[in-house]
Amino acid sequence: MTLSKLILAITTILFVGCTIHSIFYIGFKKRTILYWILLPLFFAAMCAACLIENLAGMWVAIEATTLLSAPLICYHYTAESLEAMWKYLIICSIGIGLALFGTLLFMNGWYIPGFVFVLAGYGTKMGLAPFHTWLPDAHSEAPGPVSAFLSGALLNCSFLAITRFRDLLPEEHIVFADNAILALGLFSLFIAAVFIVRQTDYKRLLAYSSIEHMGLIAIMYSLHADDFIFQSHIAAHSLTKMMLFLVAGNLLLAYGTRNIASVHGLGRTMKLHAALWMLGILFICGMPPSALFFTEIGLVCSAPIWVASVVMVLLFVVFAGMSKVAIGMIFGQGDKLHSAEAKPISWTLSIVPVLALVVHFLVFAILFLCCFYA
Amino acid sequence: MNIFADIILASLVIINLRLAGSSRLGTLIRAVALQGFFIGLLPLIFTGGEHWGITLINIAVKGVLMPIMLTYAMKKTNTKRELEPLVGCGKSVAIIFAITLMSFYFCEARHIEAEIATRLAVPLAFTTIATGLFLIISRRKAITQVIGFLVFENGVSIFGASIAMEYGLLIELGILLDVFVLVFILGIAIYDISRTFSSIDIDKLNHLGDRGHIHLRRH
Repeated sequence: MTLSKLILAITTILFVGCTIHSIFYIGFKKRTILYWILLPLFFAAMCAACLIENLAGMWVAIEATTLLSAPLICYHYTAESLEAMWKYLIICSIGIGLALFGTLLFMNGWYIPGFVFVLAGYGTKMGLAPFHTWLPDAHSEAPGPVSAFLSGALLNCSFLAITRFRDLLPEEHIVFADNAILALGLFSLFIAAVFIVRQTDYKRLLAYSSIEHMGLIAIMYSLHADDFIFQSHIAAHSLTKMMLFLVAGNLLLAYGTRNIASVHGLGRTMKLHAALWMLGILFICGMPPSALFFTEIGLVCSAPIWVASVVMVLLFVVFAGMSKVAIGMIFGQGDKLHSAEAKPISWTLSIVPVLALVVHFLVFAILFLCCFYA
Repeated sequence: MNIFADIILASLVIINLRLAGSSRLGTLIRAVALQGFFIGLLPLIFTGGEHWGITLINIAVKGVLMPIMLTYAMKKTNTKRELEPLVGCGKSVAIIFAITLMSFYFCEARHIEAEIATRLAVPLAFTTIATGLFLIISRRKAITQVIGFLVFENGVSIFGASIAMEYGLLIELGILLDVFVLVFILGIAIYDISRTFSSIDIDKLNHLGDRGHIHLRRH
C-alpha cells in the first residue's frame, strides 16, 4: 500500500471514530453548529492533502487544514484556548509559508535549499522539534475529539508532504535529506522525553507523546525501515493516540481539571476508564501486547547501533515518565489539597475508545501472525 | 518590460524600510497595501500582460480587501500605534537595511539569477520575507504580527512571480483564498483577544506552557 492511501485510510477511520464520539461528547446544540460544519471540512481538507498530486495544490490543502481546525481548537472559547489558537495560526502559517517558499525553490531546481525550507515548514505542522511549540498548547486546549483528530490524522498528513518532496529529490541529495530528517526525529524524541518526565498536565503529556512518535516515524523513514513495519507504526500510533485523547477528554469532563496531581484513584471511581487509560498508556509506550512493540523492535534491530541505543534510552525514559503518571492517576492517593471529585459521565463516551482498543489489538494480532509465519 | 519591473522592485526596498521604521499602525497598513498592489502587478509585467484576470483579483485582495479588514480590526480594538516595540524603529531600519545589503551580496556572490526574470527579484524576495519575519518577532501588537505575516507572504509571491511559476489558475486562487481566510480569522481572533485580555499585546498571551506547579498555583 502506498503511504498516501494508508494515511487516507487512517484519516477516514479516525474521522468516523471522532464523529461518533463527538455525537456523545459535543452533542447537537445551537452553539455546536460551527463545530459540526468545520469538522467534516477539516476532514475534507486532509483528504485533499492526501490526494492532490500537484505540490502547490497540496500546499493549499494543508494550509486549509490549519484554517479549518483553528476555530475547533478555540471551541471552549476561554482565554487559554484563544491563546492556543493564536499560537497555532501564527506558528503554523509561517511554517507553511516557508514550505510554499521551499516548494517554489524546489520546482525551480534548487533542491537542497528547497528541501530545507519544506522540511522546516511541514515539520512545523508535523510537530517535529524544534518547531513543535504550538503542538502541546493546541492539543491540550482543544476538545477531546479534536485533539484526537489533530494528533492522529493531521500530523500524518504533514509527514506525507515531507515524504513526497524527499521522493522527488535527485539521487545525490537523498543522503542529505535522510540525515536531516533523522536529526529532527532524534531531537523530537529527546525533547519529548525531557518534557514527558516532568509533566503535570495529562493532555500535554499525550501531546508530547505525539511528538515522540512523530520523531520515531521520522527516524524509521530516514533509515529506510521496512515499509510494513513503518506503516504499521503510523497506523497503530494514530489509533492508540485517538483512543487516549478521547479517554483524556472524558477524564477532563469527569474531573474538570487537566492537572495530573488532582486526578487520582481512577481505579475506584471510574473502573472502565482506568482500564482504558492504563492499557492505552502501555500500548503507546510499546508494551508487548501492542503493535508498536513490534515496530519499535523492528526499528531498533535495523538501525545503526548508535541510533538504536539512543532510541532505546529515550524510549525507556518516556516509558518511565508515562507509566508513573498512569499509575499515580489510577492507584494513587493524590495531593489532598488540589484533588478533584469525579462527576459521573455517560457510558456512551467509552464506546469509541473501547472499539479503538479492539482494532488496535486486531492490528497487533495480524502483525504477530505475519511475523510468526514469515 | 524589465525596466518597469526594476522600478517596482526598487520601490519595494523603500516600502520594506518604511515598514520597519514606522510605529503607526495606519502607516504600516497603507505600506502593506501598496506593497500588495505592486506585487500584484509583477506577474502582469513578467509575463507580458497574459494573466490580467488573476492580477486584478490579486490586487483587489492584497491591495484593497485585506488592508480594509486590518483597518477595521485596528479601529475596533482602538489601537493606533506600536508602543514600545521590542526593537526600536531606528534599529529596525538599520537591521532591515543590513539584511537588504546582505541578501544582494549573497545573491551576487552565488550567481543564482540564471532563470530569473530580473536580477533584483531574488534578493528582494529574501529581503521581504526577512522583513515580514522580523516584524513578527520584534513587535508586540497582534495586528503588527498579522501585517508581518502579509509582508512575509508578499515576499514569497515576489519569488513566485519572478520565476514565472505556472501553478495554474485554480491553485493560484487557492493560495490567495488561504491567505485571505487566514487574515480574516486572525482579524476575528484579534478582536476576541482584545476583549478577553483587554489589550492586544502578545506578551499577555502567556498562560500556556510547561511550568508545572507555578501554573497550578495561579488558578
